[in-house]
Amino acid sequence: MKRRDTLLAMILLAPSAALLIGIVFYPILRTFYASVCEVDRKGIPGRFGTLENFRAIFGSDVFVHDILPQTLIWTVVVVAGTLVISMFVAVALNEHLPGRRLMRAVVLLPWATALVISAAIFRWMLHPTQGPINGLLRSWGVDAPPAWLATPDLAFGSVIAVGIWVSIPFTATVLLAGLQAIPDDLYEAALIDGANAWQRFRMVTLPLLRPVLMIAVVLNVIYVFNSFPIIWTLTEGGPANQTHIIVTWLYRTAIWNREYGQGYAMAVLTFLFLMAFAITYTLVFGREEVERL
Amino acid sequence: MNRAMLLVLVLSLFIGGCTNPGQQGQAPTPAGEAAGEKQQIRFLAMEYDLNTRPFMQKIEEQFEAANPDVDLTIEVIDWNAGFQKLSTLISADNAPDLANIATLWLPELVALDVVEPLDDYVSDEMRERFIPKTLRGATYRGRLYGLPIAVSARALYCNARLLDAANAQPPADWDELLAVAQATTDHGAGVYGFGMQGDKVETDVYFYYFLWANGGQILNEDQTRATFNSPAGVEALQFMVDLIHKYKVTQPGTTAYDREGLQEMFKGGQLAMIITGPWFWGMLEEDVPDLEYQIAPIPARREQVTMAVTDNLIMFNSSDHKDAAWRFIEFFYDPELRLEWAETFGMLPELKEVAESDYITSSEQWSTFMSLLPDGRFVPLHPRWKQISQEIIDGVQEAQLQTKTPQQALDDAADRVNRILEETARAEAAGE
Repeated sequence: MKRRDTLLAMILLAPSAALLIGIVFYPILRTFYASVCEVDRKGIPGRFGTLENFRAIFGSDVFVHDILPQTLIWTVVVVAGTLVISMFVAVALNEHLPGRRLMRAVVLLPWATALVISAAIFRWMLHPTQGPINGLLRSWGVDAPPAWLATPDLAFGSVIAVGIWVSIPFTATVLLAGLQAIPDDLYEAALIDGANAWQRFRMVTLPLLRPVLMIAVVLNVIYVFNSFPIIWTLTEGGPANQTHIIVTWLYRTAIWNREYGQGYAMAVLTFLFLMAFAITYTLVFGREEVERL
Repeated sequence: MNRAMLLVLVLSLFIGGCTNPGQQGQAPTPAGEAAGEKQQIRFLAMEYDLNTRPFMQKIEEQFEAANPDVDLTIEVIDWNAGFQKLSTLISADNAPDLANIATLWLPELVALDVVEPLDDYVSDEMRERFIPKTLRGATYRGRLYGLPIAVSARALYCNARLLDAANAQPPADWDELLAVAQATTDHGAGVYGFGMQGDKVETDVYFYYFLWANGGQILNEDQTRATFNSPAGVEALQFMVDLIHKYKVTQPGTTAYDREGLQEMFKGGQLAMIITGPWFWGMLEEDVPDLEYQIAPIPARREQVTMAVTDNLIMFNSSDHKDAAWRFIEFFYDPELRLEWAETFGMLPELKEVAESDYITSSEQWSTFMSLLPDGRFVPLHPRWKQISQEIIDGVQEAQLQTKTPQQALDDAADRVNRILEETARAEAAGE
């Protein structure tokens, strides 16, 4: 009987397992394999055993001098900005204020919108002549409001701001869940000890929020590092490649230019980087977590 | 018993879910099936607009009525997904018999050795029916690989009221362009003389209008070197940059405006002049019927130019029924059908007979565009054109943003393009 159950379980699981292997593990392995092959313009890997794809990526001035630093700035600024703002939002939503249920729903709502749609709306809002943002600025007396997506600095600032905006709902919700898990008596005890609001936040909230914060950081870094739709919809990496990050550059390289080999190599680099980040981060902060307990 | 049935059910669901429902009913059965022995041909048609589907359906019915031995299937597909879809079908050895393609795709498809040359099919008599220029788009390395299905050119649209107010005529050359742009620009009112594209696809084409007019070329004849950074090219780009930054007669922040952005501004009466294609007057008449406009040739300098663009109907060499496919092509170039096509989609005619029809000659817009066509230049047919054009766009943007001088921006872009040209030449030498 028991053996038959195991068998049935295996049979029932087989389709999912096959699916997972077929659409997750196989493509990953194939990407790794193809990245060290000569790849033709149909994307089909040929002769195995060459580092030419990686050499070509790092031989590109644009990739080394623009794309890499931009990816780094984009990831760090968006994740940091998201965490700081989300923390304020989460703390505010955790207070016993009237209408907080409604506010929680409102904060979470943008999360339900597809990124492409949010980005398309922002593209319109940032439009130099028809966009409401410049309309507002004009009505406030600003004579010549800027074309936000026209110059590299403003465009990069704009995509970062939108990147932060779309990341807040998820992060704030995760942090809020963490806050709600902190027992009220700890705050009461701190109050009795004479701690002010900042001290309560630093000594009670932050340490207890640490595991949740850690998750928020890891997930955000992965999402943001890989985030394609915002930049692509807003600027397609322009003007003059000054808002590209690795993943948008990968799309242009592999899909537009049909340099599939370099595309594979960039995908491998991204995978390795994020993997290394996740492992290091968990080791460093995870261990502290364990030691503290 | 129950468990076994459940298992069968789950497995069958899984297997059923794995087959591609999109293919059902459309999958071509191998030639010579039992019923009636009809010849099956498939036409993958890219969608121009919402009229495409009904139009294609009508053609399908008419053709089948006239050719009872042929079973024609026209599958309409979105342009953006078109090349991906074709590539997938080709690599699965399941190419259609016919497709309409952007000319830009042709070199790549020829390199894959899937396109049937039509030189032996097209009789001299048939060739004679086409406006010669329109056949140039599908002539690649000395062979004719397709027939033009959608022809367009570019012209200067002028806001007549703004020009009248400034007492100006549509400009014929660069000096006049600058003068008219200066006379119509009113920064306080948010009205600018000349709309300059600086974002997304065809940003490079705005540069070509000036490059060609100045006597320059994008690549040399045998496509081994970039030539757009010649003195003619640098002067052309310098003129564009001067319009933006020195004379300030374009909309500010040019690199935020793609073609649609410019068209919207023109519709809003904020631009006195823009360069765009024949589809635009239809949009103007529909969206802003009160706006008075004139269509004029692109301002010249050393030469009078426009860009000519064609899409082409091609046949795949894997077709099992080339005769039937060719019969469809002959049917398709019926003058009445082609006139209806031009009316429906706002495309310039490719048949002389259609071009001479009352419908075309009695319309000022149509005849203006038709008169420009002989000056039309095609962008080079190169297997990696998209990449080359993107490199040129980067250079044009750098110059517009003044992060580089026009000379520096074009020289750098030329280096990148030369590298692509060399790689292509090397790959082709190795492949042959």
